This record gives sequence, structure tokens and C-alpha cells, in this order.
Amino acid sequence: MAMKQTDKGVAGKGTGEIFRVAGPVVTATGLRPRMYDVQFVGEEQLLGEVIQIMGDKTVIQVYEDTSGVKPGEVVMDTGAPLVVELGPGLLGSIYDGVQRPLPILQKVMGDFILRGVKSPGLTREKLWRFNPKVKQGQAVAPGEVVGTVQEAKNVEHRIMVPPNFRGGKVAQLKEGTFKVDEVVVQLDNGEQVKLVQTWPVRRARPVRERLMPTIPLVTGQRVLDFLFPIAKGGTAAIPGGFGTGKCVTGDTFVHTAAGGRRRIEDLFAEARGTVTRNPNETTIHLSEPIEVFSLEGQRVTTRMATHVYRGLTRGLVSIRTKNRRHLKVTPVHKLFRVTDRVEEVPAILLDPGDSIAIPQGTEGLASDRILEASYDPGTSLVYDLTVPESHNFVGGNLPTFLHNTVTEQQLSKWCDAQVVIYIGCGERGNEMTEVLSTFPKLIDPYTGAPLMERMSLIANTSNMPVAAREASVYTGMTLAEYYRDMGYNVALMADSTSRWAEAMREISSRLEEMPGEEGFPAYLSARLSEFYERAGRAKTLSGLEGSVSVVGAVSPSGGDFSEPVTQGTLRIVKVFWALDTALRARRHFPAINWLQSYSLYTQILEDWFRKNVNEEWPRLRAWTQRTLQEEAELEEIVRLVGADALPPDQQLTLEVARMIREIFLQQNAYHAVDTFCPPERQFKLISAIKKYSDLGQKAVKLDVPTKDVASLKSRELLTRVKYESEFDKELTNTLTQMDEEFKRLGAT
Amino acid sequence: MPTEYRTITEIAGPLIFVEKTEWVGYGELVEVGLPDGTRKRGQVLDSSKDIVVVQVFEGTAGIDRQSTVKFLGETIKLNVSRDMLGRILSGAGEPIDGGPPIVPEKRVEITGSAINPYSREHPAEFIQTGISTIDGLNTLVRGQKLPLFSGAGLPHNEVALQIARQAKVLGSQEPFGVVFAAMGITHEEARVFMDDFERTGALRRAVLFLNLADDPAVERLITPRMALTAAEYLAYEVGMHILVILTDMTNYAEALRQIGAAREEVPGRRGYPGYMYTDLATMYERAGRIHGRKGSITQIPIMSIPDDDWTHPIADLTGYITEGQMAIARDLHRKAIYPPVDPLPSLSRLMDAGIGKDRTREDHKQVADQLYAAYAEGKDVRGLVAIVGKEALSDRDRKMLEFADRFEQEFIRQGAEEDRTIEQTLEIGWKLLATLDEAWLTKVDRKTLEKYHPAHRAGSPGPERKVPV
Repeated sequence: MAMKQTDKGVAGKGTGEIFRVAGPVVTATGLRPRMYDVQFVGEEQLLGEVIQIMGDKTVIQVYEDTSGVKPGEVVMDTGAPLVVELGPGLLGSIYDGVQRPLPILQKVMGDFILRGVKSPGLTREKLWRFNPKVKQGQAVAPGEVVGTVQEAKNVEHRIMVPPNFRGGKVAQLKEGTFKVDEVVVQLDNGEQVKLVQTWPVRRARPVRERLMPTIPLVTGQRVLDFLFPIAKGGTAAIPGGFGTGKCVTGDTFVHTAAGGRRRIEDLFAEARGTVTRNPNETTIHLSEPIEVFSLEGQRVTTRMATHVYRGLTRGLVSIRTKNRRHLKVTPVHKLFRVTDRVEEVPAILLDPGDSIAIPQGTEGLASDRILEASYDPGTSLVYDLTVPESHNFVGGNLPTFLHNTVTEQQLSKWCDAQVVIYIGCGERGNEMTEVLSTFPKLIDPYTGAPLMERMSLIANTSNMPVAAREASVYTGMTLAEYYRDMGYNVALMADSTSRWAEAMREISSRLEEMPGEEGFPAYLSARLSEFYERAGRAKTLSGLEGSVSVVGAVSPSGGDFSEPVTQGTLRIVKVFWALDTALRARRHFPAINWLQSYSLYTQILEDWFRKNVNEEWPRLRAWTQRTLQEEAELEEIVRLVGADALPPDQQLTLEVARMIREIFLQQNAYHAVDTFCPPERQFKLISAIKKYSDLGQKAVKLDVPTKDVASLKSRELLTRVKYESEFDKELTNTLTQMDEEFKRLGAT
Repeated sequence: MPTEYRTITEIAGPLIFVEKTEWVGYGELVEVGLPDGTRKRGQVLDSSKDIVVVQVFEGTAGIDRQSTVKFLGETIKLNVSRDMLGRILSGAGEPIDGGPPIVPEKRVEITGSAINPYSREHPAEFIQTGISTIDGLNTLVRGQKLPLFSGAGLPHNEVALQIARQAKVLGSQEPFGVVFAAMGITHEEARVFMDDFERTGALRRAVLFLNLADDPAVERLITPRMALTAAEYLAYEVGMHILVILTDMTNYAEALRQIGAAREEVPGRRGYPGYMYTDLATMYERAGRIHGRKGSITQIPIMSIPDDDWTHPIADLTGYITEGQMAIARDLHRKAIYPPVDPLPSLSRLMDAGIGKDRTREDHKQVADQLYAAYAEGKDVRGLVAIVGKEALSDRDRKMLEFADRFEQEFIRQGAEEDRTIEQTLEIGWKLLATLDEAWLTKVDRKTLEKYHPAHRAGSPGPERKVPV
């Protein structure tokens, strides 16, 4: 923190007195502060920020534990907002949420974080060699680069005129080695440029012009780059439940009044009562009715379900909605269409664009727009509950996903951004330790230097003060913007934004603010958008091009995607990487679901991939997605009648889809070669699978059994190619062998 | 001597409101004197110049406006000492075993401080619990926090006790201890723990904090913090490896909700306070290892989740903080399989760091992945059988089905006193995998297969062949 305690409190603008202490929220009197200015609270000078002003009373959120702080103690107003120090030395550092270096804190206060300790974000001891890039008398504008410092072997730190300066002619210029707080350029209007500058964390740093994100952020992860790419300057969200493994995609939940969501098949399995069996269907008259939520008129009420039913259907209507609900129901199953009134309509009659009613909380009702409605033929099992009087129950499937830290770490390691900022916001201590202990050991695949040389870590574990957690994402974002201003591409990982939102909620509730949805403050979605809007590709004040890409993890509580943080996030971000518990259970890594994920950048990035990798990239991508989609449809049938009942070409499709999944999508993060797969190699690999598929289809047409096609030696070789350090050579061998083998089968 | 006030203006639930006091620190300890001479303790929840809100641990029964209030000028502290080992204390840290008071080596604030993430050491030492389904598939490591997600009527206490009895780090003779905190459990349940500790001699290296069902609910808020403070002292100052068992966290959360409601706070999900996540984190995160210090704290919080609903805030928030969970499954329990730890929904996030060559055995990861995958498949088939009947199954399906049954009976099931070594666990795993076609073992590489698969080992009788009935 840059506010300067170094001058022993001289910087004060005024002092006041504590009136009230309630946890992290302190009320003081006698101050005349501005909103969000930093205050030092109490005798221990705890760091806090003004968050509310009511007449003479000032409400301060304190970033440290307030135990023992008393009314009557002094509060000092620094007269400045919460700022971070920006300058050489940021990279390689590990900070807490308010930019206190953790290694320094450890030195000062030992293994536990005590309070009232302050430490500047950048060390004052280290000397840096400054190489001026401007001349005496030259006019420099705000944001312009005046010189450079070699911060790390591969990162040139560009010293800029702070954006909040007026700018002017260079009056005095220094060269040599300096500490960060020494003046290196003096302007004629008296402004002094130092190696360090400060910037308020809650304000976005200005740019000259925002640019369209047309260049991909290459991550070397096949499922991401090829299927769901993110652009430099783009935003992405990774959802993560905590890995319950209980809610498997495709199951329907019933919201019971007892307060739980139950899979209907479980309800069926556990149901006790009189059983009636008919061919293909079973009905259980419950001896103990289950209380479920039901829709009556415009209201949700509780009703007793008296029967549970299971039967077979010949086809299902699959509906996807804007709020990412996915329902699979029988064609005649009635859903509630919301027009000017609420009406019951058979699912088969619903069209994209229609809105259906969904429960909100336990009382209210909201509508959800249908994006896709399709009829999938095929035999499958269906369940239902009988609710007398209202004949409906509130259920539906909101899939839960597993949040996978590995994916984020893989991103940090491999994405082609020059600078990476990682924010561990409300993370588990032991996981943060994994980050802190693994990153410093990693070697940057692009430069061969330690990865930490281009990273900055911000660690605020779940038990560190909640207010600092709230600030940590802004601290990280400001660091990211600063490097963007130098003309770099920066990747920012925030894990997890849900914890950040919860910090907001906690503070809001201490302030006794009127709560919005689920107790979150009403300004939640505004804060989320503000934060993600700070991402982007831009022309900087100095005319360079830089970008900040943001990958935020959300962890919806209870795996419920309709909760406000997830919804607020999905409205803003353009890429969604759906982590899937079912895939984890099958040990498919990265566990990113290919049917549920999406990227809105695919179109805009197509040009780049066509020009820089291969003209065929978009076509192959479409083919891959289509094959995977087909597989999902075929699987339904296979589950009931077995794969042997399918026609040979469909059997081959299944085989090819499996190859795409196992060879292409699965990627071993711990394998030296496979951990990073550049786009060229991704393309070659998928082309090889496509070739196999094309030849295979030809062979199948010639009545070659699918089994024989699937058991070719070259198919097995193909599974190994991605692990080979001599990839190209092995691939060529494999392709040659593939040609030969298919020739033997008669297909060329 | 602190002043005694007789200025209580309001008493509501567990809270009392006191006015015209000197300036009182937030979180300060309070002593309330009742007219009949009883003394109760409390803590400042909100301190302003006008009014001070005090939460009374032993409940407000008997307090009237004539009662005296004394602010003790310090936050809640616990006397810690090596002599705590073998003692039984109340939920507020007072000896209740009839023994002498604890002579403090140190007085420590019970709120604790966050461990600097930079000082933490990544947990990587395998703890052998002797329970196959934990050791084999959801391995516990030193410094981890791994809750037991259970429900009413399930044997979570027995599982926790078995872990406490058998837990050991292979090849290590370092001192090991148990800190046990009971929150709102019944006398009977507490008795089971105490008897078992006494019977096995574990009591000598254990500290028990008991807040039972009929003890004041508000006291439950400090009981786990007392326990963790004692654990931190024993781990980081004395150098012991401490296993902390917290049971039942559900009661703790209810107490938290009670206070929130009494303070008229804005409730969050299901009425639990919005800060419950942070509150739970300040306890769970006290597990861990610290660079350069000998001891460690491993936590096993137990919660009986209402209606087995994992989306309940208690389970949900806990899952976000802890490194995985162990699921005590009702269906296994109904089949009379002990310990009913279902590997599928269970997860140990730190498992990979603690297993493998030099830690357990080189094939551990692969065996675990394969068992996991096969059992999952077998369970799927079970669902299928209910619809299409056994006749329609393919050969693979049938083998998988049989595998799932045998897995439950031979791998998961074991005795309450049966202490399996990790080798035994892996051997059972291999034995079961050997019933499957070798080509199906896709999670195991060739080299490992040749070295460990029973059919490949010299002098082995080959894979068991069972004729399908």
C-alpha cells in the first residue's frame, strides 16, 4: 500500500474519533473525508476505506481484524484513495489483497498475519538501471514512455509519465541506477516522473482508444484454442461447483419443500408405496407423499406429490434456455409459457423465443427465454410426479460443475501473454500454497526463464480479512492495466469472483443495506460489469497496443446457475468454459464439457486462425463440433439398444467421436510434451483424425466391419502421437501407415 | 478492577444491550453477574459510544436489568499448556473432569490469525487411516481439512473414531495427538468418543472440548475456536501432529444463525448469516503446515447434512473451503456395509501430492483411477438392470456389475477394528481389477500392469475366473 505511513502519519488530512465498532465496519465522527479515501483506524492504525458518509458520521470498512478496537480511539484521514504502487519489481512478487508483499510480512510478523503492519508494495532498497528514451527539451504527454528498466530477463519495464500528470517538456533527465522512489525525469511544469507511480485501484487507467479483440490468446490447450478460443482482451468465465459428483448432467431435479433438490430418479428409487407395473411403465402410489413446490396461478406454493412414475418414451424434447437451463421432457409434457399471462403448453409446441416460467427463490416467478428447442427421437426413460390439484412440480436441471484449479494454472503457464496476474481471492490456503510453491519453480515455455519473472500473484485466502478480499480484484486489475499501458498483453486470472461477490455481500449486510437477490447488494451486477469492462484490447496513451484478458472463476453455491453472481457474470463474459463433474468422474481432463461451453469469439478470430495456422481451421472446427454433437445424440440410443444395433457409418461416427475426445480433447497437464500443444500441432492432430474418419467412412461403405477399422494399428499409433517430442516425424509415419492400412482394406 | 455496570437496557435472545459504559473494545470478554450470584460470560458484538451489545455464552436465562456487567478489558483467551493432553474441558475451556485447573504456559487469543500463505507448506505426507476407501481412493494428507458429509442416523462418529485410532504416517515416530471438539452432540455420542479414547489409551494424547446438546447454544461459537487454539499450540509450539475432529458443524451453524437472528441481521440463504462463509473459513483454514515448524493440523469436521441435501449452505460453503469431502452414504449403510464411505462423491483434492512412489506406491494413482472408473461404470449398469433386466446385458456390463458388488463387499467393507496397510488396500484393488478383462484397464499403463497385475506376477495363480450365474 502506497499511502504512506513511511512518513509516520504526517500525510494526515484530519483526525476523528471512533464512535462504533461492529466487526470490520467502524463508524467515526469528526472527519471530513471523501468517499473511498483511506483512513488509519485506532491506535494500531488499521487500514480502512470510507464507504459511507452520513452527516458527521463516517463509515469505514477496515481491512484488518478489529478485535479490541474501542470507541474513542483516533482515526486519521489520509486524504487519498486506496492506491497501489506501480513500478519495476511488481513482477515476481506475491502480495496480499492490498499489495502488502507476503514475504515481507512473514519477515516482520512471522508465520501468522497480524495486524497494523504496513509495508510498501515495492521495495525501496533495490537499484534499477534506467535508460532514458526521451531527450532534453522533448515534449512528453501523459502516458508517454520516457525510458526503460530491464525488470526481468525478458520483460522490459517501460517507465511512463503517469496518466494523471499534465505533461510538458523534459527539463531534466537522469541516467544510471535508481531506487524506485527517485526522480528520473523532471518536467518543465515541475512534475516529477519517478520509477514508481501510484494509481487508485478502483479507477480504470485511461487508454486512447479501445480496439476489437481480433487476436486469440493462445493457451496451448486443444479444447480451448480449437473449440472455445478466447481473444486477447477478451473475458471468460469458468464455473465450478465444489465437485460433489452428485448432480450429473442430464438428470432432473425436483425442488422439494423440505428444502432440497432431489433427482427424480432417486425419489423414484426410494419411493415406498403401492406399485403398479404395466409394460414399460411403473407407477408408485406413495404411502408418504412428498411435499414439492408447485405453481398455482402466478404463485409458487407447496403441494403434496402422491405418485411417482417411470416409463419409456420414444422421443424427447430438448429445450435450452437463456439462463442455461436444460430441460428434457416428453413431447406432451406441459410447460408454462409466459405471454401476457401464464399458460400450459405441451413442450413440442414451444419455439425458440418463447418464454417459460421458472421459480425464483421459493416464492416468486420469473421467466426464462428459450434459445433452442429440438425433438430428439430415441427411446429413453422418463419420470414424473403426480401432484393433485395443480398437476405440476418445480424442477429442472441446472448442471453443476467441478471447478478445476488445474485448468487455471495451465492457462497461466501456457497462455501467450507477456504478463500474467493471478488473483487468489478467498481461495483455500493449501491451494494457494500450491500456486505459491509451484509457480516459482516453473519455466516459461516461451523464454526459458522462470515463469515468475512475468507473473505477479495476489493471495488473499478465505480467512484473511474480508475487506481486503473485496479490494484484491481491483488491486490485481490495476497491475494488469499498468502493464497493458506499456504495450503488453496481460492475462488476469481471478479465482474466484464468487468469493469476491460474497465479500461485497458481507460488507453490505454489515452496513445494513437493503439486500437484493439472495442477500447480495443491489449494485452487484453493476460492480461485476465494471470489473469485466476493464478488460479489453486498446491503443494506449502512448500509441502502443496492449490488452488485458480476464478469466474469472465463478463458484455458484449449490451448483445453482440461476444465482446472481453466475448470472451477472454470464451476461458480460463472452466465453464460457463449462467444467463438468461427470467428466472428472470419467477422468477426462481438462474436464471441459464440449456441448455446454461456448465462445462468442470464434467468428471474429476465424480470420486470424485462417491466416496464421491453416485456411481449413474453421471448417475442421465445425466438423469436430458436429461429430461430437452427433455422438451425444447417438449415445442415447446406444444406452438402450447397444452400439451393435447402429448402422456401420454411425458406429464409425461414434468411434471417431471417441478419438476426438480421447486423442484430441483430453490433454495431460502433467506430461512434458502434451501439456502445451501449439495451434499448428492442434491442427495437424485434428486433421489426422479427420483423415482417418474420411478413409474409415470409405472403408465402411465397402462393407469393411467397423471393428476392423477401429482396430487398425495406425489408430492406436495416433493416440500416442501427442506425447511424442518428435511430433511431426511420428505423425508423418502414422499417416503413412494409415494410408497403407486403408489401402489394404480397399479404401483410398 | 473493572467497573461493574447496572445499565442493561434490553435483553433479547442471547443478547444484552448495555448503555452508559466506558469505551469498550470490540470482541472484549464480559462477565455478567446475576442477582443470585451466578456469573455468566459473554463477548462484545457491537461497541459504540451509546450502547454495547453483548452476546452471552451461557444463555440469558435469569438475567434481569439489575444484573451487573463487567468488561474484562481483553478478548477471549485460552490457557494453553502441554498438560492439556488427557484432559476433558467444557465448551468454554474449563476443566470438567474433576482435575486441577490448567496451569497456563501461555494465554492465547482464540480467534487466531490467518497463516501467511507464503509461510504455508504444501501438504504432501500420506496419512494411513487403515480404511481402504479413504486410503486407496480419497487419500488424506497431513495438514488437510477433509470433512465427513453425513446425515442423521449414519455412522459418521464410528468412522471418525476409526480414523483417530488408526491414523499414522508411515515410517514416522513423531508425536501424534487428537483434539476433539463436540458441539451440541448428545451425552451418549460424547460418551462413545470418551469411552473409545479411554479404551484405546488415546485419551493420554487427546484434548476434549465438550459442548453437549443441553449446553448453551451460543457457547458452540467458541468451542471449535478453543479447540483449534489448543491444536495450534500443540502443533506449532510443541511440535505434535494434531488431528482435530469437530462434530457436529451443523449445530455450530445453527448457533451462528441464532445469533444473527437475535441481532436482526439481514439473513442470507436459508436464514444463515451472509458472513457464514468467512466465519467457517476462519476455522477450517486453521488446518495446515508451516515451513520450518514440526507439527501440523489436520482437520476432520463432521456435519450431518439436513435431508442429505448437499446444496444446503452448511455443506455447500464447507465444500468450498475444505479440500474435498468424504461422503457417508446412506445406500451403502442400508446394505450394512461399514464403513459406508462412498468413493464416487468423495474427493480428496490433495491426494495427488500424497501418493505415488516413495509416499505410498508407484501404482497407487493408476489403481485408484481404474477402481474409481470401474465402480462408476458398474453402478451405472446397476441402474440399467432395473430397466432392461440382466438378460440384456453385454458381457462387459455383467462383469462390471459383478465388479461393483464385489468392490462394495471386499474393498469398501471392512471391520471397525481392521487396520489395513496401504499395500493390503492396493492388493485388494488389484485382486478385484483382475476379475476384469485386461483390455478394459485403460487407466493403467503397460509397465504397471505387468508389474502388479496378479496374472503377470511370478507364481501367481492367474486371474480369478468366475462363471457368471
